[in-house]
Amino acid sequence: MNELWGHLTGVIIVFMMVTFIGIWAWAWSGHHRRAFSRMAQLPMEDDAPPTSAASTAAKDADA
Amino acid sequence: MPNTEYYDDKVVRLFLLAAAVWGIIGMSVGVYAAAELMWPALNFDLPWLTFSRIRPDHTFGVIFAFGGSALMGTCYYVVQRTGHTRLAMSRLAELTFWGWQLVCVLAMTTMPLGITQSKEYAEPEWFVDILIAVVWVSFGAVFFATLARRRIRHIYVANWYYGAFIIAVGLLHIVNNIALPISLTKSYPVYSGVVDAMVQWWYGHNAVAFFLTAGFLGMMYYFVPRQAQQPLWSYRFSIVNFWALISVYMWAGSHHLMYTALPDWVQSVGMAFSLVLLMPSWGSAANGLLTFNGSWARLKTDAAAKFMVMSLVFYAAATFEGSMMAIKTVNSLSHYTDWTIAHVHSGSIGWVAMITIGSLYAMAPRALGRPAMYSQKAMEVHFWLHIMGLLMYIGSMWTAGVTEGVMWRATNADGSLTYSFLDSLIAIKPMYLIRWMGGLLVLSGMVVMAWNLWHTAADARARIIKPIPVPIPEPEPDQIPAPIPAVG
Repeated sequence: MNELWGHLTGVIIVFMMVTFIGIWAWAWSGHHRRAFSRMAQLPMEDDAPPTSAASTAAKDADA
Repeated sequence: MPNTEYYDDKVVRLFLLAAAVWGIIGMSVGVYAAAELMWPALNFDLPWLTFSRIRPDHTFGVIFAFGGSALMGTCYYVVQRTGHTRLAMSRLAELTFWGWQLVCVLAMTTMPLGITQSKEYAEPEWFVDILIAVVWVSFGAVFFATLARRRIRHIYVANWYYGAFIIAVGLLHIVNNIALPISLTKSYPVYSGVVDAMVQWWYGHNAVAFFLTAGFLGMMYYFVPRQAQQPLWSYRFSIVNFWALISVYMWAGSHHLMYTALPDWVQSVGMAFSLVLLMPSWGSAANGLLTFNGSWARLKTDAAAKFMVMSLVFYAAATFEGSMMAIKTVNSLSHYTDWTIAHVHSGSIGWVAMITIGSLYAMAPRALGRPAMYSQKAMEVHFWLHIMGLLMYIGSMWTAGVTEGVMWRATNADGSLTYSFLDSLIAIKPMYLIRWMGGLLVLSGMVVMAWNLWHTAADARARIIKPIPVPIPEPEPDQIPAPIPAVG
């Protein structure tokens, strides 16, 4: 087999390693900290009072 | 002007109902198939009732009808909540519901009649496959159009998983089902020989990866923090795990074809990728479990949280087991035995069904306009029925699998086999009885859930629930995108 294949494999492995480390660096960069901590709060915000007929009436009155 | 955009939960409720119904149908077929293995006379010599014909009905029924309905329903729910926007293309979304139900009914009625491609987890014939592709592309269109009109800039991690699930399943389904129809009920795949086997298991394994893992991880990453009432243990870690999982999973399919005509190096690649896969799998499991740190006390009272925690434990266990089974030497013992059945059900009854049930219990009251599920006690009963059934199922199948593996490889001094196949079958017969009983317990738990959901849905059935407003931030007038007027 042509030895170029060996070099190609090496280049691909280096590329994949750099990408992997890059993803870690991207995820851990301070730049995203605020957005990520805001995102992490999102699932808990779906806990407003339920909207059965009775409780929505109360909510409308508040507004 | 008050807020005029509301979440579209009608389609979510429809999928919730479908999931409850298909769960019972799919698992009933499974229990019957298990009974046939114990008491073969139960097929009554009817071709459409034989194990070979109803087994794909069980797998399709639980994976695509039950799991698919739950995934699409929760996906529509989550993408709205995490983007602070109403579902785009409401009518197309409802069409995906009816389309998916039609797919399930068509597949489940044609397969027992022997109309099948004989490709595992891709049995339905070409006309059903085309319908699946159309519904799936529509599902993707609704999802990505909704993401496009989100009001929160960053895309919440659960949506990344749902997005990968939609794109990858569409790709896998279309590539694996390219076939030449010769009549309405019969087609031949364009692939042949070992290439056909490799394409099929690239599909089959990634059906596990992107349908049964990525999709349900989307569910997990939203409903676990919501139920724990704690932010995700590490949001950044969830992103690294996402990219690692989707890059590695695609290449592991050849571990289904160990010691076959597939080139040896392709088998080794599958094994290597399967071992690496353990890391992102455990990463997600750990992230989910650690999210409960500080709210473990909830487990005492909250059955939905119990389901979620146990599902994550079984996710970690089943992925560890899967990586081990992909090692060639372990595979030589486990392959073609009931160990595989134990592994699949530890993943499906353990991880997939429990994260689904936990998420449905978390989502249903909200989508049905109730403060909580109708009966907390019934949820508790469901949990114990499910976990007992699961342990009986996998315990018996592990025992049966190792027994078979060991008996099949035993040889006498002259090299002949020590045991006939019949010997091994007789040895594991009691295990088939325990497996059937375990399945029965899991099924009865599903009936309890359906009863509970039916009562929780009382207001929805009476049509007296009001839609939930989207929390659009002030100021109101220049909203981009402009709110979609409410229709229901």
